[in-house]
Amino acid sequence: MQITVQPENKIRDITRVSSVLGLLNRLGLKTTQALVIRDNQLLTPDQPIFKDDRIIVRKVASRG
Amino acid sequence: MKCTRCREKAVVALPSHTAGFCPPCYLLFVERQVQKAIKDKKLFSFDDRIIIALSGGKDSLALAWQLKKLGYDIAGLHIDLAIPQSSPIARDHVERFCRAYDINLSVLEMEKLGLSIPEVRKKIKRPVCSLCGKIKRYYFNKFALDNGFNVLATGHNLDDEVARLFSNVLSWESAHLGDQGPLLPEENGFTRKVKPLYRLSEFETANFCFIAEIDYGFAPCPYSGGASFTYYKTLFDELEHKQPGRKLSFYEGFLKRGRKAFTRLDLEEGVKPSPCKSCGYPTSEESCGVCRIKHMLEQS
Repeated sequence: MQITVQPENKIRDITRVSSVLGLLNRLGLKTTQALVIRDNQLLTPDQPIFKDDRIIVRKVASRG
Repeated sequence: MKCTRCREKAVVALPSHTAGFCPPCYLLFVERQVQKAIKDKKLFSFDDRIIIALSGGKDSLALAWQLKKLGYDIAGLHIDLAIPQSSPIARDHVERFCRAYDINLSVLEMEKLGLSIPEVRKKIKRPVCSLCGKIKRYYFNKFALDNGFNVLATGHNLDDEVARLFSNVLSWESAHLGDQGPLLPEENGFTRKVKPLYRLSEFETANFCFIAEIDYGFAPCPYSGGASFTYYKTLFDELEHKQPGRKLSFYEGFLKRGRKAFTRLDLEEGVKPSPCKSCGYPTSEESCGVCRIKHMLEQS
């Protein structure tokens, strides 16, 4: 699946994760450190994700 | 996951509240948190004239959106810092937001006042975040007083407040600990300052903006790399993950049981502000921080 990590706008190709929680773990993020968005909808950590998904992971910490 | 309130599908999970919310119930949750902060801490009333410091980020825009919805008398103030990589984007977000929600906006341009942040950074060899903060606080306060606003509201959230509290505790800054909180009353030439989002985390305000369709800027300031507050926020995220709710209980606990002691200490040992000899702004030195910055720029 294609993951866009914001605010850096880095695109990552991630395989073998089946849930939002698994994706955040793979990215080294806690569940309250980023919004996870698919098709303009927010996803909770328990939601399944699929190999053809395009997902935005938007980190929430403001810097400056 | 189901919404704790209405049992529809949840889109936001909040471990700190052991709850999940669907979009409409989440907007209600945030509104109630803001109302609780305003009521419990007696921040302001519908009779007050409130100026909101608008940076273009999620917190300040969320605050303006919520206070406008609740019917308070608000206006916005944006400070254009003249940082080429970020200021035009931030200003654009603020201007579009205020147009969309019919909020009266004023903009102060630091370049016109001889205080563009890139120039300050180039010429004064001190941490730029501290200088920038000093300049912004000065002009927010001055603008409020000069324009008849009796309340200055900022979008500081729980993570900001906890990081600041932790930083002050690490260095035992008793004067800063004594006046840290969501309400600083009007005194000694300072307008009343309030932080109505202090009960909400960054995660919560980011979700709020997404659901309320508030278009905010999330590009970081190019000068903020290595800022200690960012590191403290990460430390507290680890703690919050292990002990959900710890951030809010730490901060509320300080307000209830810790702050008074530092306020008393500051009254006994602190220096009472007096007017700056150049501009009249309250300061504990002969000249205020901004006049000293201007002087250093002239000398460089």
